[in-house]
Amino acid sequence: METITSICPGCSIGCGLYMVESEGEEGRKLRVVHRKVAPMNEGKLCKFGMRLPSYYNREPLRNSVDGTEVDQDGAIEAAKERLKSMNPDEIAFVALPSTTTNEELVSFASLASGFGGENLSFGFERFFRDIPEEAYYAIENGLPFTDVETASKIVLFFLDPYVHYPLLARRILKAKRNGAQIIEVSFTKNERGIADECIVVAPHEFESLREQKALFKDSLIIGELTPYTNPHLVSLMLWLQASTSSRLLLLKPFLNVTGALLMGGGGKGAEKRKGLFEILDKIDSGKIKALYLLETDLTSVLLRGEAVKETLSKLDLLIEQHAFRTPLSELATITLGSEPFYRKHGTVVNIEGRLLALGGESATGLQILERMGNGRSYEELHSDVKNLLGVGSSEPSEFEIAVPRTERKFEVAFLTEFIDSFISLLKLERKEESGEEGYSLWYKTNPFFWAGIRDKRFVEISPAAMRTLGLFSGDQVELALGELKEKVGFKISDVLDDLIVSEDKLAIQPLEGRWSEVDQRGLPTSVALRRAT
Amino acid sequence: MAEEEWEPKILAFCCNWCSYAGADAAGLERRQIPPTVRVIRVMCSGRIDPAFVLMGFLEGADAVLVTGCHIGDCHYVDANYKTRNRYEFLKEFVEELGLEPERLHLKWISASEGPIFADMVREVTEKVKKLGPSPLRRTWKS
Amino acid sequence: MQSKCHLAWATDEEIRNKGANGGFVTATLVSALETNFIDLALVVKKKSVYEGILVLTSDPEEVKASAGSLHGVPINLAQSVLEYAADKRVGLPTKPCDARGIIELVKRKQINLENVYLIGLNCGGTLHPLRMREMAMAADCFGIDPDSVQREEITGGKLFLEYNEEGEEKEQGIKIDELERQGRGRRDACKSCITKIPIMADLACGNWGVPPGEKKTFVEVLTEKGAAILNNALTSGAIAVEDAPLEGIELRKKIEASMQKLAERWKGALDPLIDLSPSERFAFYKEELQRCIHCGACREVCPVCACEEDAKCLGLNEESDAYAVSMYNLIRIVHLMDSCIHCGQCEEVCPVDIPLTLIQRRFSERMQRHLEYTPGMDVTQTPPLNETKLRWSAEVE
Repeated sequence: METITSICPGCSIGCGLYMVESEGEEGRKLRVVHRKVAPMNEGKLCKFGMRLPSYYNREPLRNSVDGTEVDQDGAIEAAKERLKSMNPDEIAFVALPSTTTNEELVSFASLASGFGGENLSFGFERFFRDIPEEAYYAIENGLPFTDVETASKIVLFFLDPYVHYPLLARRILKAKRNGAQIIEVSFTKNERGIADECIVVAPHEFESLREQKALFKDSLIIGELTPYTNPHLVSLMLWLQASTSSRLLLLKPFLNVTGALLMGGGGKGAEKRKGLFEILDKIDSGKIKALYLLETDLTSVLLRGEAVKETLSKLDLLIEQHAFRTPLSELATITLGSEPFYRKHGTVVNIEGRLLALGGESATGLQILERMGNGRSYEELHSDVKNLLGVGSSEPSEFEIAVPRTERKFEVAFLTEFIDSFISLLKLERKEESGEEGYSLWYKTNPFFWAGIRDKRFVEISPAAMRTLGLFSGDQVELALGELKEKVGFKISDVLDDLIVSEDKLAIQPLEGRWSEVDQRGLPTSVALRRAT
Repeated sequence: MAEEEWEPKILAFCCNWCSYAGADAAGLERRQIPPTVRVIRVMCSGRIDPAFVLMGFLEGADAVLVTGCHIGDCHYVDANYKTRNRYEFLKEFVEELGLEPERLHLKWISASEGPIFADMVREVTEKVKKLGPSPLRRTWKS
Repeated sequence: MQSKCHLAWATDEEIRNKGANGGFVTATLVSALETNFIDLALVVKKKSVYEGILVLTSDPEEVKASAGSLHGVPINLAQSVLEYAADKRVGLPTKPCDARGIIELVKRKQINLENVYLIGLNCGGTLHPLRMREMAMAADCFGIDPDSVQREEITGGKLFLEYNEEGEEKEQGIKIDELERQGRGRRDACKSCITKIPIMADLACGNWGVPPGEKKTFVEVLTEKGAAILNNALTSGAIAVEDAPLEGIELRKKIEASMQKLAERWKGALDPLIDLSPSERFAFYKEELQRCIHCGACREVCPVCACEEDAKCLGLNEESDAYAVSMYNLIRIVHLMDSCIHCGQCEEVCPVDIPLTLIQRRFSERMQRHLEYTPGMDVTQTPPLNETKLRWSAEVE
């Protein structure tokens, strides 16, 4: 029985836990055990954390070249050779920082620049394009949870903590017990009763927020930033912080986004780098011919999982480095197998700014990158990480906030432009009295969603929709978008009449459309809803 | 949603051999039974998992009646002892939960005791009408 | 069998000094492994005073390395015995709540008691590691750097922290009563626990009844298995034993009684529902339980739960039903009314801070009183929910 101190890769909170490996009758067994001394979560875990053994129980990715299994050296050599033979502008490097350590990110970035390209994406570049430099920190840095617990007013901005970031909820509860006022601004009221006041914004009534500015004064605004967040929404939140003397805390759905953003994936140089969706468009148009994916399964992370396979099949060279086999593995020209996240040796930075060490002993993933690149040791890379984070030479403990945030004053241009352009993107028709069309599908994203795992197997609809559709207990509903249809269970919730809320990622996604048009909107989608037969 | 006149929903579990026959007899003898009761027939009251009673309340029952053969008369010898046993747990549970104890009953009813079934349903309906809808019901605002 | 009380200690000086109270428990487990009396020992290895890791080992050296008390590590071992050592000859140190969980699992035929040697430990309670860090750091408490603490001990009603300050070894002790008056101290479940001496184990070991200053463990032999493992340690020369003095036996009883009295007072103080009306209680339960995100942690850590994936609390729970309170929670309450041992693990792992231990305790204490049944004490008692006949008459309304 071996106990490995580890961190959940489900979201940027980075809950501490133990992974316990043992040999049983049925082979190797993994169990997750609560690590009560971990300060970010006090050992508590959400459903995703509790299900880590099954998350880690996937088929390992083997090393292969052109579909033939080879040893790792062979695969690395082939990758190096082929990358060298290409034009730097034609190569892209993508790593969405969920199961990547700081050291791996630094190594990956050097590898990318070593091949001369500027097509490096950690998934969040586009958010820095139109905002002042002084505001970068509000996106790059999070805040310690003690700041949440001691806030006197909290505004939850399109965020249901119990669903999006479960271990955040108890911090807000503590604030509430300390007398804080909790306000919710969302498409749907949180059913677990966390907010004192809820401002329900119908998708076609977003403009009303403009009137409510005073509500936000002197508050802690909590929202999230995902690859799909509409940048105008981000600007709106920044404007609110700047004009209502509030503070903005943006949570992220991948464990090590803070590490990635603070070590070069953030504001500095963002204008030069390409965003994720731009890269995908360039692959579609043939301008980018090679892609190196580090620990990133685009089919599970992106909404349009099928479309991404189409796009990537246009590549001349697809290198996939991952612990597990993914739907992209059969498309990949070269596959490189690394160790599962919990076995890695390395560090990450959580949303609070803690520098957290993983208790594993393996560096396979890191060594692949270094053997292809500069051949540095873990110690050298770790030292680089500490320099980039400004942490100094000592090893910070998990109990300190090693990378604190420095508040800076900034100005963001007035709201109207954002709201107006935002609304113009909302091509949603108001729902007719009765009829199948005009429902708005909104995703309540959560760790299972980003990992491509279906957890709920139902969508939430209003009592009105239930009546309109004539649903009975045990029925299923069918959602339709163009030609695509999907049958799923339903749950009746107190949501707006024409709103459908889903925590699972559904398969009904547009197959057509440019990535930087379709996917950047991050809005509720207009779908049809009917009773499934 | 229009204001509807609330009618209590009573869920009665009846065992195939005794109490269901008793309930049936009450109908045949034209005993007055309010239309509030919904009957679920089980082969034996010992089949009733405490979870069924819980689910009954959660699905919207304002009262749940557990009925079966008299002790000693169980078609399956002594399964109704288990019913009695589980009822002890449910009784304490309901009380601690803060649910009105009048919403849960256990009664042994033989096949010839139709009037007792009818009386019980009538009494419980009256009691529950005064108590109002069960707090365990689902409620949606719209 | 008539229990016999001894004072015992390790003959090996190193073990005697490192282990709590003369190292009897460590020496007994070490000799049991060395003589192949048991295959494995399940121990907790200290990483710091705030953290301990479970180790299942056949290596006596690992057992020696895990010697010493760890009041800041509130782990329950029952599920781990089930998971890793259900059919092996294993010895382990058990707090009363560890032993009670194991006894309940034995009743449910999950663990073979013949193969498990429960070296019971008297327990006054444990602390949550993060609360302990806060106590160490707070200026109005210990006022020291939490990471400078090397050792901790609870003795004579005081929490002692031994720490290193500017190269000097220092020590501070604060009365547990005082800490708890400040709203600090032990876990709530421990404050109100009345099972201080593990009479359901094979041996009950501790320092109550040991003459002050002596590095010895007070050992009560409770079962034949207990006598066997103790004799094994004795004949292999790992321990020395003498009769426990009468004053020691009396003192131990007195300490137990006074701790139980204190626990009874805490029960009332920690219960916010005591004066509430039924409808107020209902509102409390509904409001607290509606936060549940169905992570399943409370069930995973419950020492008493023996169901596997076929559990009814899982199978009958459908989130799409949108019930006022979920079936998962209600079934867990009903199914634990006879068997909850109030260990407090569930509440500690709940990610949305539902006061689960309070809730389980409210339902189960009244049921257990009503049944005159205490779970986790006697392996021959069937859990009442599984009984066909209970003691009262079959009369019903």
